[in-house]
Amino acid sequence: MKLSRILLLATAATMSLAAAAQEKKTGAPAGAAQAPVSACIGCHGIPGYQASFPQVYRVPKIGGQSPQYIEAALKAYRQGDRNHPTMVGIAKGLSDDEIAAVAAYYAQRGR
Amino acid sequence: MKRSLIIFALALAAQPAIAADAKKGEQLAQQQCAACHGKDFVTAVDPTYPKLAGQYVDYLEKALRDYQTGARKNAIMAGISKPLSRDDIRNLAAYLSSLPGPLNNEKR
Repeated sequence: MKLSRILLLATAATMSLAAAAQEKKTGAPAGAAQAPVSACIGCHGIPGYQASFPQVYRVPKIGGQSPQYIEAALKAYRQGDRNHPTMVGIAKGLSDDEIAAVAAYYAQRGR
Repeated sequence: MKRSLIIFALALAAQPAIAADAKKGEQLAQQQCAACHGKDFVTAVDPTYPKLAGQYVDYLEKALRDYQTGARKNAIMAGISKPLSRDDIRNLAAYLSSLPGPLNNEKR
């Protein structure tokens, strides 16, 4: 019991440290909308990660992609022109400003 | 005898059923896709068009199939993808995914 609690705390601490480091790296100016990329990195931050539903294929590489295309893609999911269930769910929760911030964030991560 | 059979079976297994032909894909891509997506497939003529160079082969195939079936709605891509055969799609995807470009999914 005690050990599991310590483990939990340690995990939480590591995660918040990682999050802080991540925030530093993006270098967003103070006050600018923070890109809500925590919803993205679970799939798009793992080279070779495969979507398993409804079909199996690797989720697309989006780092270095054109920002206008990323915006168009997210808006297409939001309005039903694209239908991947996970992406529809995520895009529906994003405002136009958040979509623009996500697009800018990934566009500058080209190889 | 038995051994040669095993070797034969292994050789068959190692060979994909019909390998995608990136050379054919290149021809088709330069004819059908390059005018909008750019000769290098990194510099598209319109910034709302995606970079395709180095994208995952299976994602490219899925995207083209989805345009064909209408699961993914885009007036231009619906028209472009319609006449493509299954092999055309595999060849195109093989070529495009082999190209150098900035795309990546790395977490840095």
